[in-house]
Amino acid sequence: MRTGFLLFALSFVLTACDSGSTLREDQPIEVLTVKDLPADPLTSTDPQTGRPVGTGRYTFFSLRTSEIVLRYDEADRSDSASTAWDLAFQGTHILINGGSSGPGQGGAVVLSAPFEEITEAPADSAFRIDGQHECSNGVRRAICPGSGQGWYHYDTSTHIITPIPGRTIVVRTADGRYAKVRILSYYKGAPEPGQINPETHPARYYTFEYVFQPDGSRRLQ
Amino acid sequence: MLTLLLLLGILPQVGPDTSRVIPLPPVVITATHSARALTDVPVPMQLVDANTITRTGAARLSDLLAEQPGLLLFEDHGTGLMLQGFEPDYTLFLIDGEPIIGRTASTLDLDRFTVQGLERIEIVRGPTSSLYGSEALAGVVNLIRRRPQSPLAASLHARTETHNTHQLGATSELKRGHLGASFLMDHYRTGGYDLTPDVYGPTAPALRDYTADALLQWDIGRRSHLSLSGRWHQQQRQSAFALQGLGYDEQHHQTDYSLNPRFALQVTRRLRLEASGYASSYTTRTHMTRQGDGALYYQDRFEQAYRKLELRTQHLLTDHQLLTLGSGIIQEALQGDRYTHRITAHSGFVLMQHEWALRPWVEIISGFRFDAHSDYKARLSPRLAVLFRPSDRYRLRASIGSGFKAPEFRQRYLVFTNAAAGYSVFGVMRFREELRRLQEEGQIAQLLIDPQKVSKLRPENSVALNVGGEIMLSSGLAFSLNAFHNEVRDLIDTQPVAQKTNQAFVYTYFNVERLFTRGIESTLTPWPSLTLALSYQYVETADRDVLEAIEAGQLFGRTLSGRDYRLRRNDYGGLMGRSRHSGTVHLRGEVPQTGIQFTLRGVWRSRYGYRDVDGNGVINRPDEYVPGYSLWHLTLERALNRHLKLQGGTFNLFDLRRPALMPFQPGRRWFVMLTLHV
Repeated sequence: MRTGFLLFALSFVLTACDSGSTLREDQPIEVLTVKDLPADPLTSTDPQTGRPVGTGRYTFFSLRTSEIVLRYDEADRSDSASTAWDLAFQGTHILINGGSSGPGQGGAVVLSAPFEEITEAPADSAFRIDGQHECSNGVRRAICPGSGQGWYHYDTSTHIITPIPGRTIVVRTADGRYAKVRILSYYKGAPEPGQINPETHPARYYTFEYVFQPDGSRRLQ
Repeated sequence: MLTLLLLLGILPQVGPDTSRVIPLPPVVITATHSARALTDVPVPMQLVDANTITRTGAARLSDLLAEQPGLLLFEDHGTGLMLQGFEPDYTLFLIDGEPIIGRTASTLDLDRFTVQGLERIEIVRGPTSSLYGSEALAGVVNLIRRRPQSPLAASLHARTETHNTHQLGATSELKRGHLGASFLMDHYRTGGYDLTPDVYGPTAPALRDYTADALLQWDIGRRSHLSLSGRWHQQQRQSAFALQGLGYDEQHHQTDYSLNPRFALQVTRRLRLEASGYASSYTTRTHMTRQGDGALYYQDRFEQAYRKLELRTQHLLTDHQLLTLGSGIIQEALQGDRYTHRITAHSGFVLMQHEWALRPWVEIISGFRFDAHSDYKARLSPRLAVLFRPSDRYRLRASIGSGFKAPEFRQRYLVFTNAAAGYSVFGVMRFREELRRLQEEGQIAQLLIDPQKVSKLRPENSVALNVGGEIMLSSGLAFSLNAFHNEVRDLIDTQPVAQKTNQAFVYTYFNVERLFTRGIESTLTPWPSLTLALSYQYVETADRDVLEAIEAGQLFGRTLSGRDYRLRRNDYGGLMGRSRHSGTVHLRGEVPQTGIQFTLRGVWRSRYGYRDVDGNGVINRPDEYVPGYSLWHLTLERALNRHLKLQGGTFNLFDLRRPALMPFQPGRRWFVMLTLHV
């Protein structure tokens, strides 16, 4: 049950700041918040099992422009094969633009550290890529699916998905720059975690905050 | 009773308990298998006597135990008992020394038992697997039937309570020469209650409950004793619920019975032989149908059977040493909709115990039990206990022992696939075969571990230390204290072992978790005549893996304002459902010149964790706790004449209700009860 915490007790290496950096240390980087990103909400019912289901398609998001590139409900899926997006969301699954998921240089690593404590992206060797790096449950993903494996915890009695506190996803964007992401809620309207009622706050709507470093350095503060 | 006294006669007479000022302490049997004075048992022990049982006016065992010192209830698929910070599945329940079977999701529902017909309840704290084997990890609760004592007696009880609750029953006993018999019939019914009228269906179901119990005994000559006891119980529950706007009816039936023949022979003055057989069965049937058309929505059948043969000798080696040797065989069988076929398992055990009154002021008990089982690894459970009696007013006890709980049937044999979600759970004994079947059907995408690594489970096991004692204060007050530490290992949990082509996982069971519970239990009682009694308990519990994650700085919480922080040891609220502090108050007395006796009881417990809100799987935020509370119960009693007794009172006097957090607490309940003795 709690082994997830231990499995992800990944030691992360803080690399020294690039000495040749032309960065001004005091240059402010914005913390942006994305509200209610629809990640294939449940819209219809499976005729066989009676379970509510979605379309199975992803919503693609660009951390660089802070915009949705392609919504899950758009029919034309051609943009999904581009480097215009950095993260794709479908249910609890999050893909990066790289490896088996996209043509970009994307990657990600889920760190066990509070968002504010991550001041720099780790070395590239720490980054994971879809289709290459195996999760403990056997799936090859940068951000591992499954309760306690990646970013969320699933409560088997209440059936509520809650982001695990102290998990920060450091993302390498499709064009090789860095960002850090903290997921705040999986429910529409980002209700207080103790008061989630999936009837009034439908699931599969991401609210998250992130910091994107446009200058290409690893600095994330 | 005769043989009990015979054994007492051969027991080492070491205590200066012949004092004329103090009445003799009550005799208990559960702690050592031999009849001992309560005050001279070297392990922490608690007694609920006949007087306490009748004076509370409780109808069910749950109400009675809930107000006893150091006992808390734990609600999970029924009302279970929490002892020394353990969940209900770690406490063994016995009736006259034989195990009671029939748990739902590990909880033995205390609402199943009427308190009628009980002579006393003995509670041993700390592991007693050295005598009783599996499940005796947190402790043992032994329900002891009333033995026939009068030549001819009968009683009738009629009771009515809030929520359309009624109880009607009769007991009778006969004793003629060498023959004795006692009988009990009890019917209990309740209309259930609904704390959330806006949600369709009752909060607690309506139920009807029937109990029949009989005990026959025969003293054959002066040296042997034969007895046969049997119990039959049935409960029917009726409920309703709604799913996606449609109403459903739910019916639940459970039936259990047990039969226990027993033979005891005093071979010589120093040797006693006891043989017992025990057969018990527990059956449940759940039926859910759609309202309107009556279409079957779900049904589940479950049957469990338990048979045991046990032989025991007690040998007085010298005047100060008593040796108990025992052995037995057990057969368990199981059948149900979640199991592929009828399953039978066999086990055998041997036990040894040495009671040694080394000096008049020190006594040592050592012993062990070895359990070998067809389905899981064999287990040795030793115990060592010491009692010091430096003077008549002091008792010091220390004991160290090991307890275990056998892997449950579902952990061994379950074959379950959730049709809607697609995942499968297999018990370890079925795992390889079922996995091979899925592989042949092409359902397995990949294996996550080598299937050869799935092997027989080890029993969940503990090592426990109990240290404490009693002081009789000069004013006639008695103070008792017990400190305990239970270190529990090899707790069984599911882990994914393979992934299916439908993305869902296949799970089986492994020995993974470790935890501890520790604390202090204390009571203050006026002695010998109890008028005001106080108790306090402190319990600390923790999952060892959580503590390691905290130590490593890898566990975080999210504050109410949304900030993430590293959990420290103090932030961790321990295991769910455990109150750190709890206590009881019992006040007994008489209203002058009315003949009315009153019993006021208060039960208090501090907050306890009940859910995880911030996704870290542990209790750390204030909104993850049920706030602490106290409950007060008052019972008045008056003898109307020589034969008739009237009782009345109220449980939960101040009407504490928290529908969302405590659906099992219906609020204030009034009751009236009439008892007729002839």
